[in-house]
Amino acid sequence: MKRLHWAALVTLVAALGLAIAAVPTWAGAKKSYEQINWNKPKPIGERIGSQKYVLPEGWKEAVKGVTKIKVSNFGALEHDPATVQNAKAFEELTGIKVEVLAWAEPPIVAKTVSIFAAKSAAVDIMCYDHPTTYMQMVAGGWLHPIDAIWNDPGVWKLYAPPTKKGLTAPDGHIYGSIGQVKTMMLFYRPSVVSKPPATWTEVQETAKKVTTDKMWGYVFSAGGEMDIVYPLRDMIYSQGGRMVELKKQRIAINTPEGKNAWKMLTDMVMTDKSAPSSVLEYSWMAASDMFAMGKAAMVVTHTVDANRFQDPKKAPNIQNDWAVAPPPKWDASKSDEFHASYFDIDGYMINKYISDPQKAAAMLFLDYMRSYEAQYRELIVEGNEAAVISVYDNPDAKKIPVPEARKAAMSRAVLETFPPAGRMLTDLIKEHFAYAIGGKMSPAEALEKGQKALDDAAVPE
Amino acid sequence: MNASTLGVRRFRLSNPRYGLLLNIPGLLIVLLWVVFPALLLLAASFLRYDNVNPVSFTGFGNYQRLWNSRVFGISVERILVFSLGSTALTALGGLLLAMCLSNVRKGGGLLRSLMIIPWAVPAVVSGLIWKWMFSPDFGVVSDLLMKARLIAKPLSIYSDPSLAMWGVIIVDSWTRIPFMGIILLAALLSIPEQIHEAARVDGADTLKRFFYVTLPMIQGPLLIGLMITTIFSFRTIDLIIPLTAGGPGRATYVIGYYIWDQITKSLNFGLGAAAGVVLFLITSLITMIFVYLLREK
Amino acid sequence: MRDRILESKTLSYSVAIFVLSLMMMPIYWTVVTAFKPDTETYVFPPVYFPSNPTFEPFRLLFEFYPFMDYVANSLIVTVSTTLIVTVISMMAAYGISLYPFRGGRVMLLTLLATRIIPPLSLLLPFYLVVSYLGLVDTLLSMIIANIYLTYPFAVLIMKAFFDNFPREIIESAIVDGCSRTGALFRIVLPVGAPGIASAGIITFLWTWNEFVYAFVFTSTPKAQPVTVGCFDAIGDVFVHWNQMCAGALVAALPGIIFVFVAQKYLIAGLTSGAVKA
Repeated sequence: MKRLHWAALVTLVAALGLAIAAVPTWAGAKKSYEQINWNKPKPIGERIGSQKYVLPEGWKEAVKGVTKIKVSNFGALEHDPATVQNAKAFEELTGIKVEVLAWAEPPIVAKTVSIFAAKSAAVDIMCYDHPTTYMQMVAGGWLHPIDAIWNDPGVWKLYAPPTKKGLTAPDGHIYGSIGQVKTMMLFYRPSVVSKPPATWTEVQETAKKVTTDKMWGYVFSAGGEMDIVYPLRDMIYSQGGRMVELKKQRIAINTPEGKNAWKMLTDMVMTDKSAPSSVLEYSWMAASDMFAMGKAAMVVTHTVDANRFQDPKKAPNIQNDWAVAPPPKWDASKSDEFHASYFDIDGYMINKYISDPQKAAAMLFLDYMRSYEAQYRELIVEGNEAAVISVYDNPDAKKIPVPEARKAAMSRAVLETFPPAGRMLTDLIKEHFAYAIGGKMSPAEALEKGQKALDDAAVPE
Repeated sequence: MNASTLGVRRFRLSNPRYGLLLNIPGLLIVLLWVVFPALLLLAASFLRYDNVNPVSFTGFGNYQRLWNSRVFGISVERILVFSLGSTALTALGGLLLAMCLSNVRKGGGLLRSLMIIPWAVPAVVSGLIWKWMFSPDFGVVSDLLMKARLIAKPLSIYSDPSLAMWGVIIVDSWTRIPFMGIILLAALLSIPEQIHEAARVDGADTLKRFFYVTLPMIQGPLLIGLMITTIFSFRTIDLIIPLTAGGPGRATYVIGYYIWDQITKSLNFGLGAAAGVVLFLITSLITMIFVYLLREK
Repeated sequence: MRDRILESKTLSYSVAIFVLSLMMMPIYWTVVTAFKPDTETYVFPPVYFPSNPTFEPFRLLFEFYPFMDYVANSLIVTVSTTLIVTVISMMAAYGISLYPFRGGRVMLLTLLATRIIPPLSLLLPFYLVVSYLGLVDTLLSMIIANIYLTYPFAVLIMKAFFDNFPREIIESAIVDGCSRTGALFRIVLPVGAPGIASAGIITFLWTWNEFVYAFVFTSTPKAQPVTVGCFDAIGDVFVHWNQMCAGALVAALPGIIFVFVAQKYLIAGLTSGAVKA
């Protein structure tokens, strides 16, 4: 009997103790990540925008107990030296280890979603392609809101104009932050193309003239995940058009601008024969590979490819015979601001199923990766663009090829976000482009059928 | 008939309770691992579960969508073509090899081992290996065909839809010929020599013997091999994912790929579940056809 | 005359060798590429006899990718699954075959039916369950999936063997005082070892070669097996074909080893399990 009394007493005390300990949580005590004061010691814009990054106040207590954060990355790390260096710098600053996971490109969305759908805490920070997947991720409800790190009007001034609108989700919150940014420019071989084309119509003309049986006039990718969207999108932007009607959650490719772009791309392959039909199998980098191997006279690709073209081991055939020009505007009738390409954000988002201290650490990481210091490495070390525009004014920027043109391109880049299931929609575009090139149907018919497929698929009741 | 014999007979290995007991773990596996997921699949197929809108009951909505879906229709047509092609090529290759191997003795074991290897390689690795073989820029297939003067320029299965289908058919049958070959070989070897002798005595020449004696005698295993090959080729995606990723332009977008995309790209779990149910129904139908054919043998 | 040619061993050998050479080409090519330096890999026409064979691709493979982790994961998952499935299926087959009970037929039919359900169809429900249990990206999730994928066939193989098992041996042992379970261990196991080996080897291979489930369930090298590792290697920006071939060889190794070492068991298992439809 006595034993029972004691047991009961001990249990009661333990239960009370637990209850008391739990009260602070119930009472809504500050979560770890809320303990960080992002605007101290300086407003965010100044804190991250100056050449040396300054940690925000309160970070140490907020991340107490966190030893490691895991971040997914597009592809192998050997192609992302800046990411590696930035992660190391973060480690030195905070003592938190950063484990970067190299995930292959095609299944990246699947892997990301499987972690979320499982409510798993296996990965803290996910990389994502902003234009095509942001809406889907937000709609899934899996992300931890990070408005706090963007809570300063001064911070938006650091970045290109479309950034604020682009990062803000339909519900008004911000769930993504900048990792790497890219835009595209026109690369060409001066030995073959004496004057760089300024318009897409000139690109088409020039390509026709310089094509030989050893070298294509112009190449682009249409084989990988959503590669055909790149040239299509750029051509549409260069006419002042847009691809996405966000209100109606609709992608439009049969607009007048879309029709022009589609016609030019299919003509180049089928009529002009200045681009190979194997564009259908080129993925991501394959078009620039062709340029690097000397098999193409012109290509529009990410500026970071300049690093490859510079490397005599990776591009032996074109050494000292390649140059860069701004992305073309459509034709002479357009003014210079239509030298536009798309604004690609490879962003980071935070898994909402990780613990609060992990969230604090993750927010800190995101804070760092978009800072001047980190973006400096992106530009100088890796050759991506710098999201923080003032990095281009740094004297070191002169070391990279054509900094002024790139700064201009970044300031003019266009950012559109696709509706949810963006990857399925781009699949439909890729499918119908293959029909057009494969001769299964005429290009015009393929375009119309493609638009119809897009409209059929985009039905979110 | 004395007591001890009676005792032995009754003590015969017949103890149903023991048998049942031994089967409990297995039963558990089947219940948990198969029956439960199957029910879950069925249930999910009636839900709107697309990771964008809240989960809700939608009756036959997903099935209707499949019925009206252009892409799903394409995927069904593609799998039929693919399965037919792969099964036919496999049967041909398997039969040819089995016939040859049943006729040799020395070194037959080594040849048999070589025949089995493609089966033992992981399917996804086969897809990767053949992707490399089919590379239009550096590939062996193009090179050998050019050397044999069959084509003038390197071919690419990635830009020509019909070539792509041929490509995946070839690779799939490459992985299935071993199995077919083994089954047919065993069947051929089990035909008693006397039957061949009798046929010869009756005046049948080799070809006649093959068609009127050999083939009928291996009908059973042949049908089983065909059935298994068909069913397995219906489910193939391990191969297609690395090789052509369903392309170009849906040329190799088989039904399995549709399901795969729904689960991993579109994230429409309800639709993927419905497609999974349809795939199961089609596979069952095929099985039943084959079982009916087998009944008569 | 025609008949003599058709039936001649020479023709059979020739045709078999020709066809098998074609079929072995991919394997040969993979082996050769795995030992080529970069300079001999990216050339056309291809180099069939490398002049500078090197272990570079293997070294780079293990350096840039956590391939050791992949192999370790594969081993753990495969060995565990094989042990579990072999034991349980052996018990089940022993029971069904030698001690028939009323539900036995139904069990058998269910097992046959499960072979018809495409694994891809059940991928989604399995994925939901694994997510719900919080087992995403764990080795356990793959063990679970592979038990489902291999158990039915293992039982069928074992049952076929037990059906042909000489019962008199067991009967006389039991009359001599052995218990039924004792008979299992002392008599059936040793004599039925080939059948058990067949089921075990096939289970091992199927698990090692599995890709789709592993791919969906795992996302980091902590749990990814070799098949997923190989696939990840090509998703990259620039495919290092020689390294990929090196990885492919590592992934295909158990399969090839078993083919040469345990061919009899493989064939026996496949034929009996299949024919017993």
